[in-house]
Amino acid sequence: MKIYFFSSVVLLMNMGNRIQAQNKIAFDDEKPLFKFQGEQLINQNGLLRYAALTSYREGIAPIKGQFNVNFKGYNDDETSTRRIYMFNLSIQDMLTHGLVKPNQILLEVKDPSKYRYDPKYGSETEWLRKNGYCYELLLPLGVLKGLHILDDQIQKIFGVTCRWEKRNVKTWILVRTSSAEKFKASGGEAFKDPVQGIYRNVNIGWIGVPLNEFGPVPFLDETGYKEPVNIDLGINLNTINNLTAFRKALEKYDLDLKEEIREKQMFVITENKK
Amino acid sequence: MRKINIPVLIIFFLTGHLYAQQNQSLNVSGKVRLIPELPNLNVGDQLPDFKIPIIIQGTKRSARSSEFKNQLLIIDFWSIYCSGCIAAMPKMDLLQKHFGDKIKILPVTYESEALVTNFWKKNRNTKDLNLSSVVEDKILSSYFRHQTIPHEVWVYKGKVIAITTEQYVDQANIEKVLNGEPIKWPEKNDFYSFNGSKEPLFKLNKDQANPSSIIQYAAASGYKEHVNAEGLSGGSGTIRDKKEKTIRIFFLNQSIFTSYEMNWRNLINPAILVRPSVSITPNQISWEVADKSKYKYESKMNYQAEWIRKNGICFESLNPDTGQTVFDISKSIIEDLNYLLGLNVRWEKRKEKVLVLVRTSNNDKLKSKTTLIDFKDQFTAESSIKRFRSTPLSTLIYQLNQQEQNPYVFDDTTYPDEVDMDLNIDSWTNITSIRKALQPYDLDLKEEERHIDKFVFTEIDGGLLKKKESTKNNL
Repeated sequence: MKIYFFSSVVLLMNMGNRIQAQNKIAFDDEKPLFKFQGEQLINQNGLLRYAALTSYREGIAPIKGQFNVNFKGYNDDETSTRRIYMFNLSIQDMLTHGLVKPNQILLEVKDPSKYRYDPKYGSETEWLRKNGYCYELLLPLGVLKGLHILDDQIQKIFGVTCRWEKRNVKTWILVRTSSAEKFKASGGEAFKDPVQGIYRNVNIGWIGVPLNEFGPVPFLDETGYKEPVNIDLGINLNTINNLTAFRKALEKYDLDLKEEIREKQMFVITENKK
Repeated sequence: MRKINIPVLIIFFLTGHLYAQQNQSLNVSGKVRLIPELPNLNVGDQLPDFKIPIIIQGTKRSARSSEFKNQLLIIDFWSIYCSGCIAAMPKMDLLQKHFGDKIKILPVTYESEALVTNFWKKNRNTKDLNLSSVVEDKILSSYFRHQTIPHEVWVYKGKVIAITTEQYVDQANIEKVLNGEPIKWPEKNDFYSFNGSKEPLFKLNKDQANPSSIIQYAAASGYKEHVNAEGLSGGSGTIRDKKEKTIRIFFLNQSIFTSYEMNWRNLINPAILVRPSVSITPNQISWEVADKSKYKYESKMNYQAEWIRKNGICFESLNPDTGQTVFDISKSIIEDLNYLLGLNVRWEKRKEKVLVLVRTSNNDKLKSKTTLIDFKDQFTAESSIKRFRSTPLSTLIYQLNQQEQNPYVFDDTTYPDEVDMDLNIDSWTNITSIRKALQPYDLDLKEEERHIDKFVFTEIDGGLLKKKESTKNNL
């Protein structure tokens, strides 16, 4: 089985913005899409508001905030408004706000290539130029109580419905192949280096963290082992490019990774019937 | 077979008539012979000294404008064909009497002396008044150009301080001026109009996005000054850009309620709705909102122009042009408004208690024996006595349905003729007292449950209008 994620794990883990902002001096992400005039700017009765969708806007980097959040909010004192905005995102990223791991997302759509980027499509920037969008919502300060109204609107624009749902999905499951405790920790300070596959005195589930973050399917630890472990997989995620090599590295600890169906809570994006 | 429901039609016309009475203005553009060389005066300008040639019903045949320089002069442009102007004359007369020499209310019309003199003596609103009127005017109309009347120009100590609708001429506002309090009333400007085909309401900041990147937007803002000459709308339009293949829709200075109501009319056939009248009455609206006064103007509120200035919205949306029909356009406006305002406004089928007017016998105690001279005498009210003369039963039904707290009242009598009735009732909402008053006419209001349609205004999660205090934990 050829898998793509390993080669990009390190890159993704260290990268801030996936698209570098070009030198576009006049653009200011804190400014709204419209140049408000006269009464709009004074906004005496707090009725100013807008929602706008644009296609890809050249030279603007997608927002990448804490916990991967891909939108931002800005309070404008002059107009007493709050603006929520997101730039150059795939439809999937607009719907998840960057908060859902890709392997937790189930696309029930006719053409997934319009919804999320895959390295097999070539350059991400080129793909986003065709499939990326920007969205802005400006409302009076203090009235927005959650993202649900924005989410509802984005779903409506793209003709999809999103929800969390339990689904039976392919899952990578970490299992023990013998009862031998070849990984038992001998104490000491906790340490983990997911790129090199080195774990000291940590829970065994840490092995699956890079898989869970960037793998195509969710990871589940079913070893049942509760004690701290010492594991050195002797791999480098920069160079490893398939699951077989990873499984081989686990062998010496009498561990294995199986692909099985499990019921998982998934974020399901379904195209509405026309 | 084409069936015409007569009572429904009557209610429709009656409703239209009564609504119109609140704001009966007349367009007089082109009727006044203006003096081209005279400048149009605006707020802040001094009133020049000039002769006012013909004044009727007064002690003086003519006057000079400078004679009013120590008074508050209110120039009231009117016409004998402007029912709103004439209806306001008794009020003007009372104000003149109340304030005496401190003010001068000066009705001004372009119409001929003979025509106006004859009218003034005969009309029941003007025949007993002490006001005098300028007739055959050209000069005042040239200095204060307007298109619709009533049109009120306020000049205090020789300076133009306001140009307003007739509603602003009242005791409180006159006192405000005489007390030297600052005034900032919406200016009645009949000549400014927003040209939506030349420019959008919301101008794109080209540093932020290339115009070609815009796929769609919906935007709203508050009242735009000087757009509404009067009334509750500053205009609307649909612009299709063939080059960009977009459709831009806009309206200005409309109440939120009107914006929904107008567009819902394009989505639903009003005839299929189960309700007591084809036009919307207060009891057809179900308000599921914190403060309905933000959405709909009521005549008992403050000045209409003031209200719309505070609560009116301008709206604009842009979408790809896919050949949208009127239905599609109205649907998208409603959806955009719902989203931007945090509302869900819809016609909804509900099972509710209603009242049904029925006859309790076949004895005809209703038939009118009156010959009316004035249409206005069809329904009159003197304290608790409500007098119906030579009018269909729909007049009674109309009154009952004007009460917001009343259930729907339907007329199931099928009584075809005009009626005479005197009902002694303390309130249009006291159903017990109304039923008692109807008894002598062998009429009753029967309670029933029916599936009816209601226009429901719901704020979702508190709505998205500005609150006085910010909500904590907001995004």
